Amino acid sequence: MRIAFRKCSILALALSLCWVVYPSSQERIRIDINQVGDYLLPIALPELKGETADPALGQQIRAVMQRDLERTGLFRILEPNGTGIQTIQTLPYGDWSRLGAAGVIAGQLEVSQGRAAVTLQLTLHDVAQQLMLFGKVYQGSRETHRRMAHRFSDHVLQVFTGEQGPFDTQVICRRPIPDSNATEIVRMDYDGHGVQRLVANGALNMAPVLSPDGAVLAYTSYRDGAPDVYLLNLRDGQEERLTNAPGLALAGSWSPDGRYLALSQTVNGNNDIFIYDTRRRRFKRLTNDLGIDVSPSFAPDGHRLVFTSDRGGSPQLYLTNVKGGKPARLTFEGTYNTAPAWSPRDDTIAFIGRDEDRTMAIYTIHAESRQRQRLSFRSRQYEAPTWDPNGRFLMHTSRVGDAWQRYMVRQDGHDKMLPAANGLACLSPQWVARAKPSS
Amino acid sequence: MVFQLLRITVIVFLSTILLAGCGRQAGSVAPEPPADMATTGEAEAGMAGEMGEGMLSEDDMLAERAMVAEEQARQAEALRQAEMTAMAKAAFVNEDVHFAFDSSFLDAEAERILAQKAAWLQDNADASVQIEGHCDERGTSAYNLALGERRANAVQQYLTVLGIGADRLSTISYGEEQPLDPGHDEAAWSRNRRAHFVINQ
Repeated sequence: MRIAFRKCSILALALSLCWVVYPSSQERIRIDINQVGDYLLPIALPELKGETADPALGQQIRAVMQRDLERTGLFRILEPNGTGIQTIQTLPYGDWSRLGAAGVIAGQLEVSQGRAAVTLQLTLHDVAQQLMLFGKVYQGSRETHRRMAHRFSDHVLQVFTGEQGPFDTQVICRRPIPDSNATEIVRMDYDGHGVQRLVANGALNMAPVLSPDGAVLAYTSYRDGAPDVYLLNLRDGQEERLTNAPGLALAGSWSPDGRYLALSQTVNGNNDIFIYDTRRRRFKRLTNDLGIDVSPSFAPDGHRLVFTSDRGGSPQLYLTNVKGGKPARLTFEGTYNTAPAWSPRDDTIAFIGRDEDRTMAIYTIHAESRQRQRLSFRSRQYEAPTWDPNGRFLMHTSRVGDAWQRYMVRQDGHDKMLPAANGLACLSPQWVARAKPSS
Repeated sequence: MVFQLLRITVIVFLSTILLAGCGRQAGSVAPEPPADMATTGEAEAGMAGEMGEGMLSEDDMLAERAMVAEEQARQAEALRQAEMTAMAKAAFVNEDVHFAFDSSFLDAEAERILAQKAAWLQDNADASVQIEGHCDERGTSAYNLALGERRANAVQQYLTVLGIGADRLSTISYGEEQPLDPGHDEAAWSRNRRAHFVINQ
């Protein structure tokens, strides 16, 4: 067994020290996130040591981790409350084993006198092997407690699956303003907490896409009449109007290096794909076709793009590249395939398709093999798939009754509804890495 | 209307003078009105009118009635014209052009409606309009914005073919963002797949 201590990258306000224990045994718990069965790994999440000093805080921290882990559909959280047994320190591994836990998340909570500062130590244990797998200490203001929990959930997923979790992330979306036709653009935690308004101009705003470094928000607004694309620098608040044609202009996606913005624009009545070079401040036309060309999405190589076009008579996905080569049709099944989102990690493309039974569904298709997989089977309206920054999970919106809800979806289709922020819908979500605090 | 009342008042006033000029009790059971009756205005006009009725000659009466009837007819006609203009404008604004799913094709019904729109635009040569393209909630947001734009453009093009200047016809797409009918069935969807006209103020 090898024990490594190292300083980890830190929360804005929190200092965290982490240590990792690498078990030498071959019997380590391992979940292959691509080969998931029905088995849910039972994890105990007992009361934190010291939680009685601030029970509400302790419960919230545990609830955040429980929700995070349950949304993956990989874990079953045991809450051995009422056993009188609170922490790993007071319970031998054998007893956890008898309670049915394969793993335990144990922790210790310290709250400062004025309750403003929090120190949270969390450890993950393998019950069968009777060893600690991972541990972290977080220090920060009380307001950062949800982030501490999300970050530890990310590590739990990493330990068991080898994949970084998607929990300490954010979402950009637009929200309808009740009793109006206007929408505002907000940023919030992936689970709907901590809403920050980015654009609130009393107009209809569409298709927000944040640059990879989190600095520039591209979005379409009707605020000056016609739907045009604006670039808002979130660091200095500077804004510029990027397009100026009377027709429709919609931001699509940023290149992974953040230099190019792919967008669709109607010029002289013809709707086509363009890329805008933010360095040279120049547009380049990528398509020139009489049909509708919308929703460009960059591949992680920054060279290829996928987009929706109805040049063949019905909306289908097409592949092209930044040089503007002849687009190659990617989808051939069904008569309505739109809203592609290229995975940030490989050649998987998520999209919305309309199947033989005429209902919308979420699909993925591989850009090379063209292998297609249906991920949703409910008879509903679906919109706007977006990948987590690591490319392991999808988020989309789906209408349930009269309300649009957000879902987090695994690549095998397992999904869980995400909370609505203040009861308001989050439309056109873009799943993004957490914004770095402005210094 | 005011003019008509004024006219009746004048008639009544004349009748009252005639009545007074006779210098004798009318063969009516109604009491004689006070001397200032004629100047008291519209409130008593009806009563005075009844009192004076028998005093006018048959010819005068007929002439007066004809004048009033003519005036009433003229005003009714003006009203009817105004109503028709308002109705035409309301029809222009309220009657939408509809489309099939994922289509911007103008069918025979759409062409019939657009012929009426063109006629109104020709009658109202100083009016300019914005054509809004809308979609139903099915499908995806970005594609529907482009589809709504194509619908608005199809309508604009058809109207220019019918002789309306393109400079009077701007277009805008709202995609699926502003449904007319909040329902989630085919009836709602078909109402929502539309081109809508807004007259620029």
